[in-house]
Amino acid sequence: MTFDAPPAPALHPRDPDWEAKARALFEVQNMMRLLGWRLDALAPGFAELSAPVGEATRQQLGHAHAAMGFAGGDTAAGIAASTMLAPGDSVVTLEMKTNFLAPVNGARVIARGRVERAGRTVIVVGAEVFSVDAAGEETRAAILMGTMAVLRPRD
Amino acid sequence: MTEFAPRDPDWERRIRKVFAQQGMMAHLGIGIERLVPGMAVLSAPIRPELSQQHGFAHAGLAFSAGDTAAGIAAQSLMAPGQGVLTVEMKINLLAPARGRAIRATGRVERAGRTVTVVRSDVAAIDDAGRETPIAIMLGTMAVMQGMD
Repeated sequence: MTFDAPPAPALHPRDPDWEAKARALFEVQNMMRLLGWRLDALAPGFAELSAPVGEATRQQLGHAHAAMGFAGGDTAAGIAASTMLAPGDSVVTLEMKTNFLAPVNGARVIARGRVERAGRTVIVVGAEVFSVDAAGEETRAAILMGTMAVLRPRD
Repeated sequence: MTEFAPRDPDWERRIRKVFAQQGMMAHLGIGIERLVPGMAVLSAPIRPELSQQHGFAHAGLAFSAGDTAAGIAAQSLMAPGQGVLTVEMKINLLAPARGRAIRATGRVERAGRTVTVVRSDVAAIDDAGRETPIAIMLGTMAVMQGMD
């Protein structure tokens, strides 16, 4: 997975209302609000979140807890996946692998989630988490790759 | 399960200290239920502010409790001055986290010199006290030197 490579084939939303629905999906995540995350950017198959690094989310060495990296990456990936859903469908994480590359710390943490493949029943997603220092310099702190299940209402 | 012998006679006090330093645990309401060399059980009440879009607890809560339970289990077998950090972690989510609380049981699968392989099993607990498995986690902890 490299995000510097040529862009993936263009992703076309199936729901004309995809942007409002993706924003609404983020807004109802109470735990993300508790951890200080906000939604900064949204495009078909892509979402970017950020949060401050502070006392409430740290681990024993003073860095942000690994679960902050996971929560940001997983949710960015989930919001990115939601932009590809047909009207009425929803999405949940089935499985997610996280590799931690460097401490999650700095002034803020950024999570960028992307759709790798949007299938009818599963969506393959990836995410990267960056530590951002006071000067705005980004250091990649974690990479995630996972699978989202598409939930379809039974009729 | 293999019986593990701690290498630091002070292991339990150190773990409680490390846990208390994790502001994230208090923020999410995660507490220690049980500590044994090579194993740790943590739990957290499911509160409305921990929910995701369907009203169940967010996957981040299961990850947080499971990763920390696994880390503490690994930490319990460290020599004095050694600590652990998560290198990688895979989570499979099995069912929605609904009910009264979640419970994460972290275990050491293999304690090596430079890496420790860990697993965590996370369950949701309903009002009757019944447990439903909600997540399985498998990961790697790096052994760090020069930590208190």
